[in-house]
Amino acid sequence: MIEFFDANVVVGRPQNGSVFEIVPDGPALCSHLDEKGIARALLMHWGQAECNPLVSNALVDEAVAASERLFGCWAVLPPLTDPMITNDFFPRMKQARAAALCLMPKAHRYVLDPIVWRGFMDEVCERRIPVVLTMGQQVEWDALYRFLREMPTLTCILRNIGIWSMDRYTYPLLDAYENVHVETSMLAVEDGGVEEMAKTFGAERVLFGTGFPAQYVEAAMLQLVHADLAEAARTAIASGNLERLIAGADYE
Amino acid sequence: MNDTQSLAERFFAQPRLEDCPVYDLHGHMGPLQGARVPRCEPEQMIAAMDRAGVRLTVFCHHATLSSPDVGNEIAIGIVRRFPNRFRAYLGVNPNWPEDIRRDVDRLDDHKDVFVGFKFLADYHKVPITDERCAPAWEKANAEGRPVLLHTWGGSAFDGPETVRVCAERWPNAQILMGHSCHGQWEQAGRLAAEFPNVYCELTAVLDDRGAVEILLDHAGAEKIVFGTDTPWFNHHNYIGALLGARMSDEDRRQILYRNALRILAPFIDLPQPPEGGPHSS
Repeated sequence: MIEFFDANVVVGRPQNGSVFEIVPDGPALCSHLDEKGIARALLMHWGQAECNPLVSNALVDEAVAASERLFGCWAVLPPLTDPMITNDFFPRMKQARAAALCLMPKAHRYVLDPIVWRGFMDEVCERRIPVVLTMGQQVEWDALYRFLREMPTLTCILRNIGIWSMDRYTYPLLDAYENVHVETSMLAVEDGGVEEMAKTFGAERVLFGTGFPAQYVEAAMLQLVHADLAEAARTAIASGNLERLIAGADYE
Repeated sequence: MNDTQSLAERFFAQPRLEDCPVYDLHGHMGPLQGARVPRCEPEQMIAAMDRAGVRLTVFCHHATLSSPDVGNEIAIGIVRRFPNRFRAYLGVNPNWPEDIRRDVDRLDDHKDVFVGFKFLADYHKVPITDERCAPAWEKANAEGRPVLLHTWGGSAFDGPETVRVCAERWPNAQILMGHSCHGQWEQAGRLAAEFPNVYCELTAVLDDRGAVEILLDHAGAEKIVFGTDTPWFNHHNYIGALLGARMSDEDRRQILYRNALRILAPFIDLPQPPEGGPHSS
C-alpha cells in the first residue's frame, strides 16, 4: 500500500468561479483525503494569489489547524514594503505548521530578484525551507533561471509546470541545481515524464502532487501506482521526498 | 475478479483490465518540434499501450500535421508493420489546396491504413468550413468516416460554431471534436447532443476537473470518446481522471471502448471484449 503525501492542494474558492467543485476548508479536505486514500497534504489557499497574503495566510493556518495531516504553504511579500517578515517569522511558521513558502511575483507584483528580499532568501536557503513556485501563472521560466543563478542552493518545488512536456525547461534546472524538485500534477500527464525524470536525475527530485481540486487526484495517483519505477522510487515520490524536505528544514 | 469491485478498485489493483479495454481515438507519433516526447516511437507507444490495456490507437503522425505528403507516408509504413495496434487518420493541410485532392485520393489505395481524416485548423489557420477542406469532408461524408478535428473554445477556425456548420453540411461524417471545444464545454456537449454525427473527445479535457461531467450531462456517455494525444499524455493518468469523474462504470466503459468500437466497426474488424460490468466474470 503506497502512502501518498500530496504536495499540491488548494482550499477555498477562486474569485472567478470554477468548473470543479471546491474544497472549502480543512475538515472538508480531510474528508477528501480519507476518501481518496491520501495520508497528508501540503496546502495553499486560492486567496493567496487573489488577496493579500497577510489575510490569506491566516486562512491557510485555519485550514491546517483542522488536522496534523495538513501542512501549510505561506505566501511571502517583500520586506521593504510589507510587514510580514518579522524576527519570529520562522518559529511562527513552525507553530502554524507552515512547512513551505511560496513566491507569487505576478500576483503580488514584484520582481523575482534577490535584491527584493534584502537577505531573507539567503536565510531561506540556509534553513532549507522549501519554496513553492507555480510556473507560468506566477513565475516565468526565464525569470526562474535568472533567480536560481543568484540563489543556487534554494530548495524549491516547481508546481503546475504545464500540461505539455516541459522537459526542455526543467531538465537544465534539475541538472544545474541539486535542490530543485518537480511536483507531479502536470508532470504525470506527460507519458514517461515521471519515469524519465526520475531515471535521469534520481527519484528524490520528484514529488507527488495532484493539483486538487482543479484536477482529479486519481490521475496522478494511478499514473504513479503503475509507473515503470522501482518500488523504492515510487515510495519516495509518493511521500518520502516531501517528508524529507520538511524534516530537513530548520524552522527554529 | 470480484464482481462487486468498481473499475476504480480494479484499475488501482492492476494496470489493465481484459474486460475493459481502451481504444484511443486521438493519437500522434514521432518526435515533435515544440516539446520533448519521451515515448514517441511506435515500439515505445505499443509498450505504453500494453501497460494500460490500450488495444488500438488511431493516430496522425506529427510530420503529417505540417507536411501530409511526408507524414501520411510514414503512417502507411507504421500501420502495415503493426496492423493490430494502429490505424491512422489521413492528415490534410488546406494551405496546399492543389495537394488535397491527391491526399484524399490516397485513402482509396490505403483503406487498411486510414480510417478517416484529421484537420488541425487552429494551426493551419484555415477554418474547417473553408471550401479548401471540402474534398476530405465529401469523402468522409460519402463513406461515413471519422474526421478528427482539433477544436478549441473561441476559435474562428474550429470553435463550436464552425463545428455546427460542418455537422449540418456533412451529416454522415463522424465528427470527433478533439479537445471538445476546449473551455466551451457546454457548447461542445450541446453539439454532440444535437447532432447524431458529432462526438466529444477527451484529450486535454481530463486535466480540468469537472469538464467531462459537463459533457456527460449535456451529451451522455454514448457521445464521448476517449483520446490522450498519445504519445504526449499518459494513459493511466487519463484513465485515472475518468475513474475520478462523477459518472457510472457503465459510462466509463462506453467512453473507454464501446463508442470507439461502434465508430470504427465499418472500417476495421475488431475483437469484441468479453463484455464487462458489474456482473461479468
